[in-house]
Amino acid sequence: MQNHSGYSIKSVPVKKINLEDRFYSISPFPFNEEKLLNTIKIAGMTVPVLLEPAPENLFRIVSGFKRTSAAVEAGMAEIPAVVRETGDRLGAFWTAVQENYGSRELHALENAEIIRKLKELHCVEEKDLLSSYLPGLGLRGSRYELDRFLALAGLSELLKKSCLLDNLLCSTALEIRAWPEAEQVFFASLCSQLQLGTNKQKQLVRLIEDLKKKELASLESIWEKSGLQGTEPGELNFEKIHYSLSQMRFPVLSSHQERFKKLKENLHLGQGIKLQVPRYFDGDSVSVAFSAADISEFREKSEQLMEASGREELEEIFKLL
Amino acid sequence: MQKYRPEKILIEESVADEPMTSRVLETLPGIPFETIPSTDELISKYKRETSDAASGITASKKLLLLAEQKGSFLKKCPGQQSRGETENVCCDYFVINAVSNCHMECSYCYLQGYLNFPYMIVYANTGKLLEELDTAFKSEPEKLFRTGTGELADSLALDWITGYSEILVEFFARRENAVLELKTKSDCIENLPGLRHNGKTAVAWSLNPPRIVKTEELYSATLEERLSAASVCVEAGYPVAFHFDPIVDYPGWQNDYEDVVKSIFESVPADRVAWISLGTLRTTPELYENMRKRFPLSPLPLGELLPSADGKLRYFKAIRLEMYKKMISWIEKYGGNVPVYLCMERPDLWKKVFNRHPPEWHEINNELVREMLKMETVSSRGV
Repeated sequence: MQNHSGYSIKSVPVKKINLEDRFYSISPFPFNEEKLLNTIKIAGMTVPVLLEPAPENLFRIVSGFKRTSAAVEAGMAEIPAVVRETGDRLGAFWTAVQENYGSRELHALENAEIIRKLKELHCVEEKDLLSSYLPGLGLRGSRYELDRFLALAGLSELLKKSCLLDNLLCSTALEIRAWPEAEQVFFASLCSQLQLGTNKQKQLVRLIEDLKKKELASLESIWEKSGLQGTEPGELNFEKIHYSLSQMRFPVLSSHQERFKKLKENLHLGQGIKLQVPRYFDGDSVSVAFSAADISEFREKSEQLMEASGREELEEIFKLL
Repeated sequence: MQKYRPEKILIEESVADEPMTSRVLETLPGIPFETIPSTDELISKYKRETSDAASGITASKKLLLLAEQKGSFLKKCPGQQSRGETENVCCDYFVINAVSNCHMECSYCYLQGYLNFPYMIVYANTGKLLEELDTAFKSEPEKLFRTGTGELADSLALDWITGYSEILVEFFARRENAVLELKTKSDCIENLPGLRHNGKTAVAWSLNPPRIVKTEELYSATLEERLSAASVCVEAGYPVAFHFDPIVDYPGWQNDYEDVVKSIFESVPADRVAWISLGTLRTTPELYENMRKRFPLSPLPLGELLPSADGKLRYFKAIRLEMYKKMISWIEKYGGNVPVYLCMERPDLWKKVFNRHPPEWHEINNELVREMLKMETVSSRGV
């Protein structure tokens, strides 16, 4: 069956489809196919894939890479397909993009792959990318956005996989792309293992980057120097890593914090009395807070504070400001 | 130092006939120029075609724009703008925005996080400038205005092109209640010795140790060139001033900064130094990111910079305190009682540094102006 627009709907044997040809694919590599496989196993393929004729009497997939892979996996011998014979490759690619864009949220790396292919394979000029194609993907048509997505498309396969399959954020991947591969693997697995969110990934990358520059050292040696090397995997968490690395990154602040902690402990203020210094000691007053359930508790805590006011430790705390 | 040479000059139509425009074109023969109806299209083109704030800065500086200052030339120093409940001690300074942007590339320069239109701009409607200054100074005859052109630009780096110093120095020479500060990292003082300044203009240099000048203040004059220029200005009867801002923390900073302080007073007599200001490295979060992008090899962002209450990142307080105390001890050791003030610091730190409560803003300003004018009474040079 062929319509007036050059389309025909066929039942195509899967062995006639070149599964290796990913010219029109918008994903850097196959991912997230399990759910689709289950659906196809239950209901079969309900939406035809889009194909175009290819040399040697084969077909090239325009849209439906995941569906075709799932169908093969499910053991289907033939699949329903719309065959497009116009020869307009850019048009076919953009149709595939729109089909995906309309049905699900695209991953940033898929947007990156689309933009890269538009630029490199379909020779779309930058001004057209900025004015038409980026907005067509729901992105801002700015040079910043374009450069960012092209940088994402240029990431190594290792980082792309960590972004698509693990927990690594694209922004983090861009930050660590110049690190040695072993360090990238280590950090990506840390993000995955500790399920670190955006801010936590960002904070750790910044600390590590700074320490690598400051100490002129590898991540391994920083890890060792910070005392994190010997930590049992079960005891490792974001707070511990952040604390240990911050001690190295901000040594003067850390020594003040340690000193304050010790002085406060030695003051032996009773439970419920909070003694605080301004954040980063950036201020001129120490604050004290307590609550009391009755007048005798109030008196008791006041007396403790009076007793503390004569102690050398308190004087030393004020000197830290 | 490396002098500025634009690749192209753009002239906003409304200032095409201004004397400043003719002067710039005569000083820069051979540079292609074009008249444009207004700056609006230029601004939108910049925003459209620039990848991010950091990447557009260097390229934009190749264009020199002669424009009309449509807003006010005279403004309060941005340091006077407090944020939230935090109020830094301020010196009640006023800035004249006659030029915007600077061709030198200091890694820490706040302009890279401040200007959203980073072309080199010379405002050519000088008539409006003088009229505005005259009105402002006359409207508050009791107030002492300490003003400077070195906030959005280096005061002297383009002076060989614009001759702005000739206009301003002679204008201020006739004012009763206003003084001018020309703040620079250059040695472009050619226009100054012959001017009638009447002691109302202080020529000021921002100083840092040679290793910081070399690695963090690209295209600027060397320390030696700056101090030599200061010496020439003293000979011409000008009061001079110095700014250690930013003071940078690095291993061995103590010896380097002491050497710089010592060399100031070996170059100029202490009684010709109107004031010295101190400020440690500080950045807004936006500037911090721009610094990292534009100067990836600079060690400055690796200092112990922490968020302050006003939103800026500053060295940890104990580090700042040590730096200020040492700097002041060296200034006293080599220069005696030269007036010193801190720039954009909290009152509690000011108190710890000077062992007294900080004065009111206008008191700091008035004291500095009075000290400067007192100098003139003991020296009639250059009048």
